[in-house]
Amino acid sequence: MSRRFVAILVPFGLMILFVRFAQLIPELTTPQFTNAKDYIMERGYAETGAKNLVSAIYLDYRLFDSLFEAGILLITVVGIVFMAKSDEDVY
Amino acid sequence: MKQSILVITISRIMLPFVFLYGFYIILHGDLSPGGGFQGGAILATGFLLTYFIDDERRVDLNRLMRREKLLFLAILLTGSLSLITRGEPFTNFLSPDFPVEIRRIFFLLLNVLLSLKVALGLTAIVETFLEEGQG
Amino acid sequence: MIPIEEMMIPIFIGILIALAIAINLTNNHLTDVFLLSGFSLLAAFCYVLYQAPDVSLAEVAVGSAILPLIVIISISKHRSFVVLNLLPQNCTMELEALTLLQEFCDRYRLQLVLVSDLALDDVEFKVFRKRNIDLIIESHEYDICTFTGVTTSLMMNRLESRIQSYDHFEMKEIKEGEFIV
Repeated sequence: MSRRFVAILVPFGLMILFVRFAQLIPELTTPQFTNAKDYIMERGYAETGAKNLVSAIYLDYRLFDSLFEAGILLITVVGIVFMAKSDEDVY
Repeated sequence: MKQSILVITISRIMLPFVFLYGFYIILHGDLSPGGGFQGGAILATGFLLTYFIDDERRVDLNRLMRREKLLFLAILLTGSLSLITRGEPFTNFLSPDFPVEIRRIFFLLLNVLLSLKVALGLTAIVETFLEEGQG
Repeated sequence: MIPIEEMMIPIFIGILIALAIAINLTNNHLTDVFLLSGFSLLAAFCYVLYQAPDVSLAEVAVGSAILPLIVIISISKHRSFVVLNLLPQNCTMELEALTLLQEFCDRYRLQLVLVSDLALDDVEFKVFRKRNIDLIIESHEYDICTFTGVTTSLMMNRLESRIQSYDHFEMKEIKEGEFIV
C-alpha cells in the first residue's frame, strides 16, 4: 500500500517542481511566442484553403509529421500481430 | 462472449448512425472539427459494434495488414506528389492559383486515405486480441 | 461575472485527479475499466471546455470506446483455465485431482478446459508459447502427482496455497517459454 502512495506522490512532486522551474524562465511566462499563431490565424485560410486551421496545420504545414504518424500506427499494428501470433501464418 | 438480445438489437439500430457520423467527420475534416484520425477511430468503433451483433465473425488478418500497407504507400505518394507538380515536397499538390473548392480535393483525398488506414489498423489490433487464446 | 464553463473546469479537474487515484488503487479489473472509461469521457469534456474539439473527438473514440473494449476482451479471454491431462490410464489420483481443479475453477469463476489428446512431441516443443496451456498435471513417480504451471500466471499462487494441504500433490513452476522434457 505504501509503495502505491509513493508511486502516486512522486509524479505529483515532479510535476509541481517542473511547473515551479518553468515559471522561473521569463520567456515562458511573458507572451511573446505568438508569431506562428498569428501567422496561421491571418493567412492559414488563404494559403491552404482549409477553414479548420487544425486541419490546415496537420495536412499542409506539417504534412511530413502526420505522414509518419500514420507510419507509427502501422508499426504498432505489425508489432502487436507479430507478438500475439507465434505461428507462421502471418506474413 | 454470449450477448443478450437487448445488446444485439441496440447495436443493430446504432450501427448505421455510427458509420454516418464517422463519414461526416471525415468528409468535413477541413471545414469543421475532426479529420482523418478522429473519423477513422469512429469508423473502427462502428466496426467493433458488429462483434456485438455476431461474435463468431472473423476477418482475415493478412488481408487487413496488406491493405493497410497499400494505404500507407498511397498516403506517402499523395503527400509527395507535390514535388512533381509544384516543386516543393509535402504540401498541397494543387497550386494556390486554383479556387478553394478545387483545392479541397487534396484534403478530401488525404482525409479519406488516413481514416481508412486508421480504421483498418485499430480493427486489426482488436481482431488480434479476439483471436488470441482459446476461450 | 465569470461564465459558468470556467467555473466548472476546476471541479472537473478535481474529479479527474480523484478518478486517476482511484484507478491506481482498485484491484478489480472490471471496476478499473469503468473508471478508465469515465476518466476518458470527462477528459474529453474538459477538452471541449478548453476549446479543443479535435482532440476531444479522438479522446472519446479511442479512450472511452476502443481501449475499454480491448481490456474487456483481454479479461474475458482469461475466463478459461486450460489444463493438459497427462496422467496415465486408470490412475487412482485422477478423480481427486480433477475434483480439486474443478472446485478451484468454480471458486474463481473460471471455466475448466481439459485437454488430453495431444501428441507427445508437440508437448515437448514449447507448449506454453504455442497452445496457451495454463497447467499440466502428470505423474512421473509412484503416488505423487505433479502440477506444472507458468510462474507469470496469476492463478498459480492461489492454486499453490490450496494444494499445500494435500501431501501427494506437488507444485512445480517453470518460466515462460522454457522447454519441458
